[in-house]
Amino acid sequence: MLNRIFGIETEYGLLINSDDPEHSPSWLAHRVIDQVFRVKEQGVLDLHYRGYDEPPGNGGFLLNSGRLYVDMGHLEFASPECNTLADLIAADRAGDRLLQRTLKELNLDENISLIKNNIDHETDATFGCHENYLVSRHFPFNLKGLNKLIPFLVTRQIYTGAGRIGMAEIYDGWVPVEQLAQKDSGLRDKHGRSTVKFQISQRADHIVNDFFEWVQHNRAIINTRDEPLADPNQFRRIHLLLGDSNMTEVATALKMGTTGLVMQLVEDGHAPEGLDLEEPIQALKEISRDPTRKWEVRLANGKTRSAIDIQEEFLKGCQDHYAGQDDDTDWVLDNWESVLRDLRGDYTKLVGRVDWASKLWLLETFREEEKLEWDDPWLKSLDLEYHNLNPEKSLYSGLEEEGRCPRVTTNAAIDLAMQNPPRNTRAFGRSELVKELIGKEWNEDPGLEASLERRFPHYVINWSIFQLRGQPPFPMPNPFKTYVKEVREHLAEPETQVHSE
Amino acid sequence: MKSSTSNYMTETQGTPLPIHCERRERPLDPIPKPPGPKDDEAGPRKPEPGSPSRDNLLKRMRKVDPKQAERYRQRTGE
Repeated sequence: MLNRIFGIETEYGLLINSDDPEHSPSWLAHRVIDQVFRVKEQGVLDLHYRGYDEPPGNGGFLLNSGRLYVDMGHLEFASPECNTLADLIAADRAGDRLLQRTLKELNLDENISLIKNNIDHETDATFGCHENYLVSRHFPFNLKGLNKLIPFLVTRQIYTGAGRIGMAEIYDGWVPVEQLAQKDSGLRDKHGRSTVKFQISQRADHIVNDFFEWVQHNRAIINTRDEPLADPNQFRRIHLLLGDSNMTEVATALKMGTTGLVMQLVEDGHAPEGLDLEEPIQALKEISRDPTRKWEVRLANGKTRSAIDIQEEFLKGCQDHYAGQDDDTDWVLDNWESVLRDLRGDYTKLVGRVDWASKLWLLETFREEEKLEWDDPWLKSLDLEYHNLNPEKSLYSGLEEEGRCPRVTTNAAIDLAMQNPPRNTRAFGRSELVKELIGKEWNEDPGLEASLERRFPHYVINWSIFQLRGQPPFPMPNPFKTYVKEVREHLAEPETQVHSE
Repeated sequence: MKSSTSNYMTETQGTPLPIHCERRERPLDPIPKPPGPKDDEAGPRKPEPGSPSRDNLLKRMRKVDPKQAERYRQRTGE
């Protein structure tokens, strides 16, 4: 897409199918890391501390130029930098497939399931699927500019939500409990149990602020951390954590594609006016929990509009200004329009394209067949199984096998993306470096003993720069540039060649 | 209907080729066109009652351990 680099970071849940597990999810996550990096040599482990909770060996960059690591006990895959939606979807699903394949290699796939969702129903934990959009440094990253994004982001859940049974009990120190209790009144029965049977978003319950810079606690609609992972004079990275992990390719592509286009509207000063919401956080939750699916919200100007109306305003803005811009833009505009049209009718038309609709149809069908109440625990288990990475078990995969899910990429492209980077972004150059470093033995050079140089790891790789011991840093500040020629030349120079002893 | 472009490519076995002659791997199928506004049958349809598709999905759902959600206790992440 024009002037856009995309990335998706996914935290996976880990389910141990045993009442008396031998190992913790965190232990198993590290087994997976060990298998991917040390046994199968699919990437290179970090040799340096990336943070206090990311010690050396906690994860690293892969041959496909994405990152795999353990974050707060969760396996997390960050896609490489992608410039097209087809590449992004292939990269995202390549992460899923790499992890599932690793479980199988370890003979753990019978008893362990990796779940690509964002909540558990028992403890109300949440974990994210973060979106990254590279924008120009000229993007109006101020209240005026970002406020234009809010109504779009709050309402896009009608086609990006993954759906869930019930609602979360959020009693967090960061949240004004009195206010929350008031907001939730009417959502509980006389026993204090949630009356929300099903809602369309998994993350809506956990977003408690409009803007904030942290990613844990006080999660915001827009994360304001300024960490471009690129030349800060040219670029800004907009980091979003309000979205759900999607299983359908259409939902993932629409989530990233529509958001990328609306950011372009804001950058160009074409965002629709008069759509500011009276209370965005309240609206986010009300839309998600609305069983009537009318999805009406109050605007700051006192009017009431539906989420579909608001989305159509943004769609029209993008059609007016960007139709014909490039292939990805046209795909997004066509599919956005189609999904919004179908959302006005029978939701089952969205089965296979929109995750919450697919899941709701499956749950409704099963509930009717088995004559279950909505609070039956079996339905929560089905809710999880929709997101299972194991294609033999996953309910999403069941729909896909039945030909119900339109594809944005192909299985061949996903297989390719497991070990290869997109070759039109910075990911390509980084992959050349990873390829060069894999399998090397890092013996100490006696000549460096006790020197300052020895304190530096043999290599340090970050998204926008790398450095080999004894060599100057190699910056890669432009994510649109592959750097492949320069990296190959850098590695070929005698003084920078990586030696194995 | 145009499709999104794949920029994943493979190199032939052996020595990497120069960039200009690397083989491009494209999606096998174009992105499907969404249904038109006048199409009454717009969008993928739900599997009909009694259809093999629906039966297969029900079979898959019945295999799910009803208690697995109780065992799914995760740490809060980001």
